[in-house]
Amino acid sequence: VRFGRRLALALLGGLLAGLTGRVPAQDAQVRSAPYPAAVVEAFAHLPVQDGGRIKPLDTLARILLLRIRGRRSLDVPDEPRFGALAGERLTPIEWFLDLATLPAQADRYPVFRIEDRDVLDLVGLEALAAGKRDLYAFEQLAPHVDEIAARARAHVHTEEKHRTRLQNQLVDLYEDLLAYRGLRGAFAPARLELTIPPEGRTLRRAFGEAARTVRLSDLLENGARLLAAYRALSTTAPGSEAERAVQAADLAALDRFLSAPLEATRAAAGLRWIPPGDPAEEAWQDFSELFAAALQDDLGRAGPQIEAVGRLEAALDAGLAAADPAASEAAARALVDRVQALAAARGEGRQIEAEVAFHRRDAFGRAQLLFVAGLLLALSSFLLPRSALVYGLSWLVNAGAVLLMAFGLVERCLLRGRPPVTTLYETILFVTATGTLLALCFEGVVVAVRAASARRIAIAVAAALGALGSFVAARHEVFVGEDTMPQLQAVLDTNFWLSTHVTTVTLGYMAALLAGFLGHVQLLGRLFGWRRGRPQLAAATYRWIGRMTYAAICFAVLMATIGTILGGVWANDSWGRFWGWDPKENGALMIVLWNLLILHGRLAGLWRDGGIAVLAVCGNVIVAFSWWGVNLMGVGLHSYGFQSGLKLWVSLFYASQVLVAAIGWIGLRRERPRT
Amino acid sequence: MRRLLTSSIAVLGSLRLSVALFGLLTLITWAGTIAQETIGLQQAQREYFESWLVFRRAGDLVLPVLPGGMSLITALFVNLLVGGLLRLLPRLRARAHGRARGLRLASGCGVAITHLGIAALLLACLAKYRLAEEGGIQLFEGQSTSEFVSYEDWEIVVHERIEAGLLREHLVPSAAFADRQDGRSLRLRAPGLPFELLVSDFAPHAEVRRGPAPPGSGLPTVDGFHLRPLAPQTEWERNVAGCLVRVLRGPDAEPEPGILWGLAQHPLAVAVDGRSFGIGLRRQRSPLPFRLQLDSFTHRTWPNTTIPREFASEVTLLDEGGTERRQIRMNEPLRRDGVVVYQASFGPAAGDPGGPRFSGLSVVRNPADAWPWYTLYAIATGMLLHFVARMALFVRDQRRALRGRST
Repeated sequence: VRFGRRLALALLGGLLAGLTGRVPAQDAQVRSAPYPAAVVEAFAHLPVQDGGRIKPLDTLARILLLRIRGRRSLDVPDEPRFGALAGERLTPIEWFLDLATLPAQADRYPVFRIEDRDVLDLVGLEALAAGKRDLYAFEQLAPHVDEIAARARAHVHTEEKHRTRLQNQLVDLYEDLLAYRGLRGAFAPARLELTIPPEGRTLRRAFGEAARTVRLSDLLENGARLLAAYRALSTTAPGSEAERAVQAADLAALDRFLSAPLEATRAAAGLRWIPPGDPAEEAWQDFSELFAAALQDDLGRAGPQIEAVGRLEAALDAGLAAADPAASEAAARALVDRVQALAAARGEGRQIEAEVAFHRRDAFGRAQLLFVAGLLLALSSFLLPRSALVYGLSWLVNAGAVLLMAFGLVERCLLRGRPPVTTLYETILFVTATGTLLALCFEGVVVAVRAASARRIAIAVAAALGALGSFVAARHEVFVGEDTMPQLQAVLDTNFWLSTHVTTVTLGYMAALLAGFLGHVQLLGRLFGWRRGRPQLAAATYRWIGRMTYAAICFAVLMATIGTILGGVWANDSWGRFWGWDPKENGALMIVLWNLLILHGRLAGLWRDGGIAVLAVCGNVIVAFSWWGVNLMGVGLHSYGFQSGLKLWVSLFYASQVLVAAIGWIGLRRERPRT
Repeated sequence: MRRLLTSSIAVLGSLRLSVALFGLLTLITWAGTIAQETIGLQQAQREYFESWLVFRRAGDLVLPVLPGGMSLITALFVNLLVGGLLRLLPRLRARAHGRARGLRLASGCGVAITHLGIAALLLACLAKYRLAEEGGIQLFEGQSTSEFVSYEDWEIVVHERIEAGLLREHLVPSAAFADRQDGRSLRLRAPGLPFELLVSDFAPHAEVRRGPAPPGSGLPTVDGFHLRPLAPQTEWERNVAGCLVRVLRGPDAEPEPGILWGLAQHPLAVAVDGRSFGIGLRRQRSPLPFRLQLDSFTHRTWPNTTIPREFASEVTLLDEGGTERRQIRMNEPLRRDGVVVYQASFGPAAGDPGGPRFSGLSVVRNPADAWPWYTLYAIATGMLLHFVARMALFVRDQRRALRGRST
């Protein structure tokens, strides 16, 4: 039943085998001036096919830099050899343009983040000078690529959870190198100037006697004719001895002439930016495929594609960072327009503009800042209880942050044509957005019923939850270093079940977590004697926190139960059984059971606000287990997102929750004799 | 007597019992999940969830440490019926009096509906567990079948050649002899069979080895081979069963031993009075209510990736009523005549990685197939009714308190 994993491993193996090819000849040319903003803007909108979908080059560059560097930007070291760029901060797309067109320049940027120096020791690189903040340039690592590859290959086929941390980092480094190598010089074939050797009779005939050099696009246009001539040459018997020598020289010249574009296009095979003319063909072409197609096919079919190559040549000739920004901008736009038009003719690439804009807006990053500000405001409103201004501001800022998150989620849904939650990353966004929204609703109720004692609590919890959630989301994106809008595998490719089961179960996680965090406030507040001086106020406060916790638990039971049963019904439609005791199913069931335990025990009078708080905090452990823990087990049908390195954080979270529950419980017991 | 009844109702339906059951269920669910890492899904399922007691080995002792899923779910079933319905229903009448009686009644009804829904859901799971048949089909394009093969169960088949192309089969499902895992044997006879079979030493997973059986194993060596039981695989469908048979040609005849094995190339041949029989062990086969023919199989990935995008089998169903063309896709199974057919897997034939691909279909015959949907409607309605009514009551109380404060 598990199609995916073995296939992926097999493919990875194949990919790895390809790495030991040699690094293509380095281009000495370097860049001395920043790219004009308009050129960068144009290239950001170039559609490419990656991970099975059409995305802007901007997104591809972001993901690659995020994965290798671990950040969304790159600082060029303040060294004289970088000339005017020294000390500049490069955006992902600027860095990518260097990587694709000027690999020699890009190779000097310290961009590979190696957190643990032991990884270098592991491959015998201890002599390598540490760059700033554990960053290394490709030119430093290049001589050791074979060694790294050999070491990493020993572990590639081991499942992630069975590798040590160092082994994982080694494999990560290796895969980063592969990704970098795959895109290094991706536009370089468009910079080729192919010299026609004087003894190349066939070439002179094809390109005209006057031509001294030709470009790749010229070659592509004449590819089929050249190949036919080549074939004829190698099969025709020469008439005389003199003819034989001329013919041999001609053949040798052709061979030499073709070897450079062959090698350059092969090295540029990682970037699929050429939409094929055949509408039935789903895969976009890279340089090497277009080259092969042009040599074999008739020319008419590849005409527009070759024209696109011509425009790339023109854009690079105009100089991306040339003295004449208007010319380079016009050339870059002409290229991007051409490729976008080709994509549009296939009915693809409609979301390019929107996706670039989505990343530029960075709704979630901005929401994080707002939540932090909102938290500060909410906390200061406790210190300034009479200030309606501070309280009002904290409302405004936090509500703004929630709206921003909702806006970002809606944008993602529109871009992908999917419900809000399809990946682990999106669960974090969704839990954060809905959790803060629910907490704000609680605050709204408190305001509506004029419960002065309970004011500001829910809003502070909302802000804290929002800040934490958006921080975790951002960290997770860096940690995974993959497209956050991936194509979904077949079993998940159903908007009906994604929008019903996944959404409700995730709301269940959210509400149970919110109950747990309200439990923290209840327990820690009582433990540290918050408002102890005013017993009446304290009693009312903790009663209200208890009410909110109870409400969150009720919501959790509702959503988790419906979500879990919906999951069963889905499983019955995809795997043929309603319930299979799969880890993810069990996790959801445990959330339902635990919250039912809390509610029924409350009815039985076994516990009140304090006890419920302790149990709700324990419930956080269960939610974390269900949400993250079972993915770390790597067994079961739901393992859509195993991630090593997360184990530590999840364990720390478990421990912290148990600790809070334990000391909170002890605190409650000490309270009792006094009341 | 009446007091006994009321007090037992009070205990069986008590909230404290519910709390204890929820706690224990959470605990075994957690333990049974963790255990899957080491012992695999099916074994964990058997030890933790389909058991009455969960045992732990301590040295030489095997001790029950927790109640198993079966006992907990049974107790929960009783508890929720008794507590959530028997004890609740009389109180509904009381709720129908006094302040805000509509909301109170709605909340109580919600609870009752929810509990009833959960009870029905548990029954549906029981029906699936006890009554459902499951198995698989592997078809290459153009092939057809009218039976499916069990993933876990085996059967002994005794077949007699009647004439060319015609066999008579006698079948014994492994459920009949699966408990004979030692020297104890099960005697099999059938009208028309001139011999009897003694089946023993059934092993859910085994291999046949050349050479004499190790001394002390108590297993016979047959024609230089012996059966060697193995630890079951974590995925049970990979098990290959084996057992011993002894053929008894008559009351006084010496039993002739033989080995049956799931991967045996040839059946065990027995010739009696000029009639020739073959005895074999194979995965249990069940009939489909129609003939299913695979017309074509599509497997697509997203372009230039290994991410699976679609699996689909175009099939033709043939029965007396005629033919019907249908498609079976991931998440879109075929439901007809009481069976559900799913797209489950695909692959090339063993040893031919580049060859044509078969489509792997799963077949389930489950009388409670549609129940989860119905119970979901009930449970969702009941819970919404209850929680919304509770919320309305809360709002009402707060409003009154506000009014009280302002006057």
